[in-house]
Amino acid sequence: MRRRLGIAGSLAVGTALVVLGALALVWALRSSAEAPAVARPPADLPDPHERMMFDSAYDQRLSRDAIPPIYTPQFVAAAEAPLQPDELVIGLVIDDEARAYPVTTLNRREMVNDVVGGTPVLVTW
Amino acid sequence: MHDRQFDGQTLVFGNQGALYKTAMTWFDHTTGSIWSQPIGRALVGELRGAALRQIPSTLDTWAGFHARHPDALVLSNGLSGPRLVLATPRENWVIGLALGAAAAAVDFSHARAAGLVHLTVGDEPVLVWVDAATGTVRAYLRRVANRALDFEPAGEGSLRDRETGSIWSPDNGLALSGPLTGQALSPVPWTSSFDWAWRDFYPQSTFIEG
Repeated sequence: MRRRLGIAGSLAVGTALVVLGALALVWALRSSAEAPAVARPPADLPDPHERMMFDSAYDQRLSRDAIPPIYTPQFVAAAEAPLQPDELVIGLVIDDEARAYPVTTLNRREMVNDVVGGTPVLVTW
Repeated sequence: MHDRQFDGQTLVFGNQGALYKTAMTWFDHTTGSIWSQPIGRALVGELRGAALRQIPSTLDTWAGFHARHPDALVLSNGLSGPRLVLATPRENWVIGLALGAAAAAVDFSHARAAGLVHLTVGDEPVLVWVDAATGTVRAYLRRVANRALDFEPAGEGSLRDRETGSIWSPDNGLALSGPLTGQALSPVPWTSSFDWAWRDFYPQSTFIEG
């Protein structure tokens, strides 16, 4: 039932991931070149030392939402979901309401704003 | 996984596109404050210092999660592209646990090879379970009625506690038979992280690498 990847399969998937990652980066950098520049982080760190520590750890790579979060999640019933049995999902259950977030999607979108069992949740990967 | 409610309001989060200590950052659409993912805390902006409540979640294969939750809804945005089946989530990957001021990180590969990892985070006894075949991860507080429990494999995917001999399901943390039947282990929130990022955020963290 469970499909297993051999070494060659794993390498192929690994290579595919690297290629996809490179393409995503190129796409994101192009998008960021066209998007308005992001302002510096709010300057509410009056202590110069604290500000310096923050700046040294902070690295603005892309513009906001260059990797687009999911703001309006859509769903299919489990029985209709076209997922592979052995692909990974983040699972969440709140008040008997169950959600599965495919890791494949999270790799591309990174963030989901959802409401589960009446609780607003932020899914990140 | 975090609760988006803070101080009576519900926040909507976007991707800040920046790294802080080599990890992801968010912004909230209400105030534009910048938040750090591994700690779920606002670093700068109006909400600086605010922290979101972390919610326990699981990492599962679809087959495993579907079997336990046949009524689940599945996020369908962007499902049409190629599917990636990942045997291992990431390299240099740890299961990070932060409870109060204490923190611990368990190397994923080690946990997967060991199956069960017992640890103590601050004062809290914790059990991390990883299914070797699927990479499914669970983290539980391994304490019932003020007694810490130690677990061992009991065959057919179940666990046995050494203190009472009760049989437990690692999937949902329920005691299925024995003196503790019906008792449940509380899930502990955990974070997937690269080991170097976890070390940056939790320099006091212990690391369990086998």
